[in-house]
Amino acid sequence: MTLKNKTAIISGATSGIGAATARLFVESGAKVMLTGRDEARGQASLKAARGAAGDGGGEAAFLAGDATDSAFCDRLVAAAVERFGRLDILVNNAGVIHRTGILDTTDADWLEAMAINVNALFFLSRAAIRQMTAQGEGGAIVNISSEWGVAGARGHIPYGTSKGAVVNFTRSLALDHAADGIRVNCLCPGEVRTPMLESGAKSRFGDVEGGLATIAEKVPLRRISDPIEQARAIRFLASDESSYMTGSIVVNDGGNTAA
Amino acid sequence: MSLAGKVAIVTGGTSGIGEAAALLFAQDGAKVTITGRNEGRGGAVAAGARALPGEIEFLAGEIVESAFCDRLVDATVERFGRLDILVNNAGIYPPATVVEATDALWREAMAINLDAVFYLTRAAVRRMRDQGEGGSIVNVSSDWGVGGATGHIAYGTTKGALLNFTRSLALDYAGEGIRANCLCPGVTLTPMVEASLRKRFATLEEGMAYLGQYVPLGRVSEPIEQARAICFLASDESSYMTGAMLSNDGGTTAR
Repeated sequence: MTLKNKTAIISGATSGIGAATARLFVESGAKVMLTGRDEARGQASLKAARGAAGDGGGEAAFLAGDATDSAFCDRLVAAAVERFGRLDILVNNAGVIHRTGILDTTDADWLEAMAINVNALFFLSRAAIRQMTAQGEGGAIVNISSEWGVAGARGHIPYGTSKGAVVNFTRSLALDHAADGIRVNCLCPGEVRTPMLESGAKSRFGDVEGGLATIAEKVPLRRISDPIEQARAIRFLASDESSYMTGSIVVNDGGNTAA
Repeated sequence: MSLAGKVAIVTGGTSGIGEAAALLFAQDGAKVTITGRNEGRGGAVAAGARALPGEIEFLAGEIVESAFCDRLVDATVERFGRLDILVNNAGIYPPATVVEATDALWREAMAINLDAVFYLTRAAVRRMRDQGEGGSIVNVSSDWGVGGATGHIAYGTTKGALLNFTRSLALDYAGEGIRANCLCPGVTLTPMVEASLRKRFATLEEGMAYLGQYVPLGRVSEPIEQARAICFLASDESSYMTGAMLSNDGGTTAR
């Protein structure tokens, strides 16, 4: 699947699914602007992405910043365009998880979940769509929700609420900009071997490996996905391979939500 | 997307989405048995794959017959050595509201759109389990499997059933690495749709524009656009997806 001559922005690209997606996109020929808050991890992710470049013309750059800051999102799009000349793809991947039910959720936790998991998608999508409509050649936006965006998230009220919002943000945005040829789709990953899941395994089960094994047993496919398996679905949605898909919610969860 | 070394069965492979999928599979290196009712078309599709890296073989027969479905799997294994992928694509969409639908119309829709899927999937899963290396099943439903199907009660019912057939099947065999997913195409310019548009409109373009105006993306899809999504679901690119429903409808069901 080629992304040759495509330019992309990937948020939350400093670890997990975002980092894997950045590598896969560069390997597939895309020019990718990675972003995230952590400069050091961003540089490591950038190095890995650059290392994935073959002879397909893939390139990578990193801009550290906070996607919950509207002005930064505008700067990020401007920086991507300045560096690579255009913008074709946005992957809204950055997210935060709070492992709390409503009684244990502070105002600050709630507001942080909304800011990172929802508001940042608004700021960054708006900036990206301004650029895409100015180019007049369409575009593709991939929003990362979660299986907990289509099913209830027990003990994770801010996360479940915000990820549900991402699902319908996707559908609404897709309808508004379908006529501009801008496709907007949503990926709902299930369990993925990321730092986020490892922290969850530790907090819920006491130790990481034992916890991950317990989590894997409950998945119909009986395993936890590797970030690359989510990245491949993101690449499909971002590429012209999915040229007729928009407003779709793609669940990639080993069968969890089929039950 | 590489399907090198994979062996597939595609039903309804003699035209439209099934033909496009079979040719794309062969392009990506797969060996494919197609089936369908039109023998002339079947031979033509198989011939069209001769220059491709993979191979297409046509087997004529009625998938509404359980025994034929068993033979189809056996013939595929005999010819190509194994079976990795099944695409349940064949379907009919008879127009009729509930008061217009005859018993025969209803039963035919159930037979082709559901019973055949059951017969062939059972035969395929038996084989995949014997091989012990998993497998991938792609069921082609419709945007009218997700939302109500105006004026097509039998079609809408079968396509909705296919969604939950897929989820249930996925749960039963996930532990053995057999994935089952469902594609829900929106309106696609298949020969069947094209013939109907030519009848109803002065030109095909006028008909396509008429249908396209109801789609958020403003156009109907080409069979190849559906075939690419089938290929994604059939291939290892979607290795963690099972029991999922992929809408490929230009935004129609996002409303």
